[in-house]
Amino acid sequence: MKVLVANRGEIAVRILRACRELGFPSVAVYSEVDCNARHVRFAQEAVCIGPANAAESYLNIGTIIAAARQCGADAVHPGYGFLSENEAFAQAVESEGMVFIGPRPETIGQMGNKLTARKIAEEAGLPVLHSLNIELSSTAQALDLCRELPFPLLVKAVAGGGGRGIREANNFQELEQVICTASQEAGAIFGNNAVYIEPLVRGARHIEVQILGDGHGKVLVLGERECSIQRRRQKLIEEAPAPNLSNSLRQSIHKAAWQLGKWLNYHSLGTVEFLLDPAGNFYFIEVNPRIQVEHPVTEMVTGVDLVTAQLQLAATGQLNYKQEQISVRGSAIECRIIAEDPECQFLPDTGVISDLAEPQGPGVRVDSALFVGLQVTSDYDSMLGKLIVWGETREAAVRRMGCALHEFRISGVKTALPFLSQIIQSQAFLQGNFDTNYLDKHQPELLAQADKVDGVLVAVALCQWLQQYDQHHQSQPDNGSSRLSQLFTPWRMAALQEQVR
Amino acid sequence: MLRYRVWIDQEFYLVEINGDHIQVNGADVVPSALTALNEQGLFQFQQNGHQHEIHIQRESLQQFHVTIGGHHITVDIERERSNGHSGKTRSPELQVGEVHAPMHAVVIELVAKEGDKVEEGQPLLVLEAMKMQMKINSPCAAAVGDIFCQPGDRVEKGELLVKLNPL
Repeated sequence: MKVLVANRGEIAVRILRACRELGFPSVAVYSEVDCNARHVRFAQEAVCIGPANAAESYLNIGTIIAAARQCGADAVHPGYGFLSENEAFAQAVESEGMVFIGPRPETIGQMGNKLTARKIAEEAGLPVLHSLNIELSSTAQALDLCRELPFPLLVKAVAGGGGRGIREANNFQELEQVICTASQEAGAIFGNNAVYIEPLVRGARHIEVQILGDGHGKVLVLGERECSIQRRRQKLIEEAPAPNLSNSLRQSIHKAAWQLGKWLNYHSLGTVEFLLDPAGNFYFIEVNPRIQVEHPVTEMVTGVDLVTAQLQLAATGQLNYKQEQISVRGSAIECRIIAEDPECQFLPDTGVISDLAEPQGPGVRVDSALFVGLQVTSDYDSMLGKLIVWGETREAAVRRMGCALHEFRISGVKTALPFLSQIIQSQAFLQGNFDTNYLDKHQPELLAQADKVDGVLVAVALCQWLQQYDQHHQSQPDNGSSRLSQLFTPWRMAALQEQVR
Repeated sequence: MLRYRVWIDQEFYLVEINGDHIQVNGADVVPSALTALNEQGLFQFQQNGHQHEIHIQRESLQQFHVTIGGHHITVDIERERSNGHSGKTRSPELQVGEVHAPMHAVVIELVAKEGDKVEEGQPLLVLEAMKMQMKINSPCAAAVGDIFCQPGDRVEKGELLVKLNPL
């Protein structure tokens, strides 16, 4: 089975690596700025699909389908993001007679509309938050209906997902404004400005369940993940299994996810997301019909290679696992490593990776597409990679993560490595006692407590370096051939290479 | 004796090196030999009994990118000559090919234009920061290359303003 991977970055490398292991020929696609990217070198063949702008390359259905046809691919894996949740894309792949490695297009479409997804979940018997299950088209209509609901409320995009297109309203005055902005935002991001409204659950945790179905009625549950460490509704740290979850509650949540999987006659990988309130009630949020960023924590505790399972299902139509074979051992944690400046509101940072040391050791896994020389641009997501650790216990995993973060060295762009270390070491994290607001609430103090640069240390090291450098250069006679000759030392060449004319 | 003025974030450090004797802001520091680990700027050194790894990348003659302990920071260093004067206009090394903004500022006026031949010390542009205007002069005789800003632009500290080409 020849597989085209319609993605880039670490997830493309992850999937291409699995293809290699299975002996499946593979094809990478890349935009012009990605011609030297690591995923391109991981594939047997690679096809350029257009300019840097994702809309013209990684989101361009026509070009990607043409590339798949041209190289004779039998299957297409969409990864996450980009076209992974695009019903039309999945449909186009199947119309070409190729296998779409993911759920059926119909399932993607149903889960893509959050109101449809909620309705189906309710039909399948899952608990769903009481909300306004209508697509609000006018603010006046919305305001009228909201008189019944208790504040605070969340206004969400119907076509949204992944924590985007969500706004909070604390009172009636705010609501009108929030509906307008949320609707505009939804239109801009998702091309559909419909929004719906649901109550905000205070102190909620985000728990999600990994499911894998064969599309013929068999649905496996591969445990849950805790993803409550979020920043502005974006996951930052995930773990499996969820800490502080009673066995009965865990089983109820797993059962709910399985029920929905059965109801949908689910095919391939999916994640069913739930909110867990402090009283122990859980509610369905949405389904992510694709491989997820945080899938490695599940792989680490179950020993199941999810991407391989997905590829084998696509190739043979069968799942090689039985539910009885799935068990969870130990504890796994993932930290997303993002190019961002913690001193500057975590704005994305760009640059060229000038040096790199990824952590190693037992139970340590790095999923990244990093290499020295990689240009980190603002064209795509600022996530550089993921650091995943496994430990026999949660405590062991936390300690291992602390060491691995310390070992990680990325030069050339700013990252929040010391901040991540601080979260891992915080009492709340150690006790597994946090909700989805934890980080937004405690960010300033965590940031203040995080290790700082030892200025004296750096100043002394640099000045000693400079002194040695100057001595070395003074001892060499200057033949006066070029006044700017000192510019072109190896030190500067790397930095100036592109600019020298 | 060598004196270096070092800026890390908003902090200033005066480093004095006299043979094996090093002082930072007047306090003694035990010197430690840097060992190069590779050709790409990775070093190892010991300080206060602890081992450290540091990656040093020189961006321009006075600016460095340093990675240490998970931090990636920018450091500005200015070398002071033993006679106490700042080496700014004297050191032959400071005939840089690039002119960077010394601080957050607004560009008020471009004095030189692309292709101009300028002498050492001739103004290239005028910046304003905290209601003070300052002329940014050419560090050497050169031909003005690309200009990366225009009047009204806000520039960050360290941002490339003008490139200078050899005459």
